Amino acid sequence: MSSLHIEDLCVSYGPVRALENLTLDANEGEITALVGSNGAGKTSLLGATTGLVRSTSGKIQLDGADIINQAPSKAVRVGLGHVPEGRQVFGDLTVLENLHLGAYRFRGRSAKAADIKRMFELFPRLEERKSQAAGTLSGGEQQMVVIARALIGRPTMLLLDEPSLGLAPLISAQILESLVQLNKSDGLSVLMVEQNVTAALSIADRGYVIASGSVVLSGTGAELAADPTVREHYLGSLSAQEEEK
Amino acid sequence: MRSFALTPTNPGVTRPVIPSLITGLLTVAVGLVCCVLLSSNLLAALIGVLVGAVVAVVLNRMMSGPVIPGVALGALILVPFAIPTLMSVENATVAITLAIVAMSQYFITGLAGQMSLGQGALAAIGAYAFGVAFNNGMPWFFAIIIGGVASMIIGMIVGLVALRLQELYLAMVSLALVVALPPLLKLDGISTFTGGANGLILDAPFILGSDFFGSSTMQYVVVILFLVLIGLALSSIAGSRHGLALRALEFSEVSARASGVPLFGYRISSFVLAAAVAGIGGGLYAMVLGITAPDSFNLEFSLHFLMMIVLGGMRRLSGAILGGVLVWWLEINLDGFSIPLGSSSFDLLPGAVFGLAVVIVVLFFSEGIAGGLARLWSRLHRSISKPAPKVEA
Amino acid sequence: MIEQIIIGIANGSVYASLALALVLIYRATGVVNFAQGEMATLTAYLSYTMITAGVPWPLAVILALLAAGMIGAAIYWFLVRRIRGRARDTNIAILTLALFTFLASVTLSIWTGIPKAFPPIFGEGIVEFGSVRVSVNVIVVLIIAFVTMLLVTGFFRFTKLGLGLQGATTNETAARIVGIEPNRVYLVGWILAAVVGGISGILAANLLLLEPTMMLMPMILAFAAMAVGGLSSPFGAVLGGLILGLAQSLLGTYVDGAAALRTPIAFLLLVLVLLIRPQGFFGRGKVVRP
Repeated sequence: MSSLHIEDLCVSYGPVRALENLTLDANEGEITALVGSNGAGKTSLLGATTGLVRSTSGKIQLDGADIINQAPSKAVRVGLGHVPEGRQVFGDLTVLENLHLGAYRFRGRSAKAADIKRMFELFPRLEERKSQAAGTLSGGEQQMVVIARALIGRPTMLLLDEPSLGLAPLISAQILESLVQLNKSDGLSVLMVEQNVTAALSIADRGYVIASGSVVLSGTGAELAADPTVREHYLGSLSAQEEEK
Repeated sequence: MRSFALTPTNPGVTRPVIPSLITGLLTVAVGLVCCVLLSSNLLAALIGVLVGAVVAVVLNRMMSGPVIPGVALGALILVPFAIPTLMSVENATVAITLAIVAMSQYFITGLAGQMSLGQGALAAIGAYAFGVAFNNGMPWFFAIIIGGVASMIIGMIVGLVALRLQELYLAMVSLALVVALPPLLKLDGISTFTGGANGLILDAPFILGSDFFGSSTMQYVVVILFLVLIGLALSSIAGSRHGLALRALEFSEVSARASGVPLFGYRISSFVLAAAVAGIGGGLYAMVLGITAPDSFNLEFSLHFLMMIVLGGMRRLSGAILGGVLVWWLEINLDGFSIPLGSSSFDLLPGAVFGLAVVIVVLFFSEGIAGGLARLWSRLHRSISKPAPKVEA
Repeated sequence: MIEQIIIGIANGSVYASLALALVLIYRATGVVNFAQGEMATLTAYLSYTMITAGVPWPLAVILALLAAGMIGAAIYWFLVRRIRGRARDTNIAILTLALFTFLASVTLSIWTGIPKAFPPIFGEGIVEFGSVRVSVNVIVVLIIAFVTMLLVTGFFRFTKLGLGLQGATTNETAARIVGIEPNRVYLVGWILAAVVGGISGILAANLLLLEPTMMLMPMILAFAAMAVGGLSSPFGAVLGGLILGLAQSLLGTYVDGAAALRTPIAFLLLVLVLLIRPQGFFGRGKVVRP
């Protein structure tokens, strides 16, 4: 599986600097979490990695090879699976067709039957709805479609942008759990941007806190979860949870 | 991304128009009178412009408001007299009637953002309604109004069918109307009114002459008056709240809806108004030509008006007028290019030239000619006018 | 009566295939290609010239369709693709209208406005089913149209490009993510549309007279067919085309002066469709505005 090395990355939208000399590493076989408030630049980071967003300067290397500013349709070919924000399903197509399109980079129109079977084992809900138009599914189910679709492309690194946003806690827990499973069983490298800091840090091997376009803190998942600054700024909900107990 | 202008982008209409109107009128009047009195039209025109300029300077001190546009327009209006080789008065008259229809295209497509391809058909209806009314004894002025009303009615019907739907449907329906109209006009039952394939010939040739000015001059003045009045009306609507709403509508339907703008109402009223203008233009067109032929009002005719505003500049009223005159001028003077190919030659018809010109403009010069000129003018203006001297403390 | 029905369906298959081409481009680019009819006419003229020059008709047709594909590709790649920005749809519409004017003019220059009879490439025989007499021409047109539509359906159902095109037109961002290059698949859409439109033009030339304005009336009914299909449904457009062809033919038999009335009837049918059921019977797009 792959490792991602980002160094001094700068991304601007006109006069607005979204990323300012950002440096981080997502190591092979690890789950790396990126946390930070809105507008900190997390989405721009993932977008820049897959080429959907233009980088002004810096380095993005996948397994040592430069991939900065590549065409987005190439990202999947170098092994990057992208689960973007906004649940980008092919709304008019069925769940099954969505999955088949995940295999677009391979030869043939359909994904391998074994791969599809595996996805349905991972997300049984999708098998129930396999002939339904993806646009008619619930938020959680759509997210599953997008993740399954990305996985069908046999990525060596999976990028996820706020996978649990807008989802019921139970569903998002399910989804995060499947990611952990995949990481353990296949050694899939995962780079995850997540609003739910507690959940993210609890499954992450490594974490980065991003503010104003740069990394401000880094460490293992456990270290960051215990860090007082992190607890104060980003784990406000933790105290509520503690009070419940 | 073009930012949405919250203030009307046609400042000329919110500023007083009267000084320009006076100077323009004076320029033209003096020029025309001199044309009759003097043998050289060019000299006459120059005298007219001179008088206009003098009055402009005087008025500028007395009233607020720009005066140069008036003189410039007056000069332009005198061009067919001064330089008939460029465009004769008769041709200019026809061009102006087409420019009126082009203004309707500007209003519905350039301002209200609706893709109507049927302004030519609406003009045709105005032309025929005028012809029938005129041939039945109605005085020309009222016959023109009838033309406008007839087009308004058809416009209302088309609008009610198509404007509730996605924008595309207006294009389809208006296109279909244009294609279906000539055969309809030639149908046996209807041709008793419309003169069938040969068209309607006006019974009494339209002579509105006085002994002083002559018929072609008077016709020209009449259509110019229509152009100016309609142009002022459309311009002031464009600068008003209605125009603002239309621009908001075009820019973002979602936000326009959210701010409570009654979309359908604005759309249909714009369409009906544009139809009326097209009908009046069509009536004048028929009046000037003396004949209406169904096959002349074909798809190419209708598309001309779209091309006029694209070439002239879609976002400006002046673009429509400029485009209208320009396209007609090209139509007359361009018999087409002959490209020699071996022994024979290949004729490139005006239609091909127009098509190509529009393709190029759409790709590279989206503001059209008027837009480009306006930008040039403002750049010139800025470099000429010096900044106000700082007051030293 | 049955003869009228068969002819109606045959004409309808011309409208249906033209509508199919329009839907293809609408799905790929989000706009209606107003020049589609003219492109079809040009293709018909090209095959006509080759056939009358002695080229065996299957080859002439194939070459003409190849030319059509290339023209479609060029229009998309060099012109349509470059138009971006806020007024994109309006500008592309204007572009296709300008192309219409250009192509109509060129066609007129080269071949003149005199209507021509398309060489009877499908034979001149008449087939009899009992009391019904139908010319072979009509039957072959029906078969070719049917096969074309099957092939296009097959393209979408069974090929990777077809699925990719559907994906790209549904969600361009998602398409990029799975490795689809949107411009390439849209190009395929345009080429396919140009070829299907070309077939429609050649079929029309067999049924009607070959003249520069040949496809104007069919365009009206192709629009109506598109509307029946809710703009984005190929199946709906084809069905709509067939039904409208039938309606036009039947209406023509009951009203006198059929030939001259065809275009006004077509206009009426379009208005009827938009009044009765503007959102069409298929398709998923929103069509009615508040």
